[in-house]
Amino acid sequence: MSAATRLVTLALLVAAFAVLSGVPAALAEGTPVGGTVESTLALSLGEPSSFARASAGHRQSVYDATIPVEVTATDAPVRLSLADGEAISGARRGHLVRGHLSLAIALQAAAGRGRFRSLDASVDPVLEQWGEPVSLEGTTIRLRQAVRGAHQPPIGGYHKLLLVTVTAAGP
Amino acid sequence: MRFHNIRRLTFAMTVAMLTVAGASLAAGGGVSISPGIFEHVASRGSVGSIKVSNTTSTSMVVKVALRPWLQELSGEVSPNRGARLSEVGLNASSFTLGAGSSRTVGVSLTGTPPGRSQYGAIEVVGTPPGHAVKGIKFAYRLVSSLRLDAPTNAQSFRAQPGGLVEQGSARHGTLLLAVRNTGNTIVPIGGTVLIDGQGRSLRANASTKAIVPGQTVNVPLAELLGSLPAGRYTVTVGLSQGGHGLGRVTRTIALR
Repeated sequence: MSAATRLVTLALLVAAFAVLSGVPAALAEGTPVGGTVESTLALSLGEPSSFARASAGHRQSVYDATIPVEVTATDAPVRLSLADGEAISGARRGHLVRGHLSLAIALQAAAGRGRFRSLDASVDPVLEQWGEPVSLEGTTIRLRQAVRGAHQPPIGGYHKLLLVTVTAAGP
Repeated sequence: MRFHNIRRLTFAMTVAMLTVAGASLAAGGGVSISPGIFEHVASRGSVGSIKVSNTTSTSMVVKVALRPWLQELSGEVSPNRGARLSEVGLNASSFTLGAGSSRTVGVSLTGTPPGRSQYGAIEVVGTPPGHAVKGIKFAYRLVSSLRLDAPTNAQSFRAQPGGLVEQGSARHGTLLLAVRNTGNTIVPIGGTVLIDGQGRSLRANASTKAIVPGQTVNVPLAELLGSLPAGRYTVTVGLSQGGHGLGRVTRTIALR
């Protein structure tokens, strides 16, 4: 749900409450509503889709997966990034692994309509950024895994723990 | 009678809207931490606590760590996952949080940090049970800012300017100044700029950047936008930090 839709929904709910509770219309319209909220950072994850082959070829196949996320943060700026939860450095960082093996091409991620960023970079890629506090801001993280070569390994046996990261307000 | 119809219609609209609102992912729960920014005077002993909540329907293994920031020249920060913040401790760093439950984790200063202040990240990672689904397993990671400020009478506002950097296309990009925060606060550093030469001058206000003490960041001075012809220029920058003047620095640069 977009921020505008939520705002309209909230306004309609307030109006509906005013009618149902018998609050005089003039009072309902003229009373400013405000308050202080606790400094908070919250993240919800939806059901992820499993990797599905998006394109296949002799030289390269591409697999895509998605996970919906929702962010609430009272302190801006707010950043959404994705981090490797298993390797913080080295050749395995950002790569799907199976035992001692790892895929040659790093996993990539994007959010919304953003461009794909490789997960093997030294700094976790920022996928989305908001300049002001957000409430239940939804987006979808897209994952892409490319496999190249004449003998492309099936990616089913490979795995990775990914940390969906929300950072508030910089240093 | 008409009023009853309006009430019924309003109620139906309310139910419909609540149904739409219920489609939010947050209805399925998640992980939250409070506060989003943890700020306190750096005094030895307990400096407060953070609350970690698991509103999902499954229990979760939660790990909490205090990390130093890694700061890029652009000013972007990320927690250094290979290091732990010194002089600051937690009373719990790993625990299982049941479905719908919360836990408070105490933060304390165990010693006097160098520079009398300490800045870093509070990293909370919540990992749901179970194995990877078709290769990928997702976990929650929330990073809030830990700001343990030096007492007012011990605060130091200082910076060490470095060289000029021209970023982007020639004479159409951004002029930046490398600045190292040699003070002990996180108050953003900015200033005023005068670019003089070739019979032209350009005045601008530098963008402010929060620089972690001891770190260096390229502070954007001015957008050049092709307004200056090629040639040699003198750039004078008056740096300031939260109303405190940090001195004036002069550099020369050749724009091509």
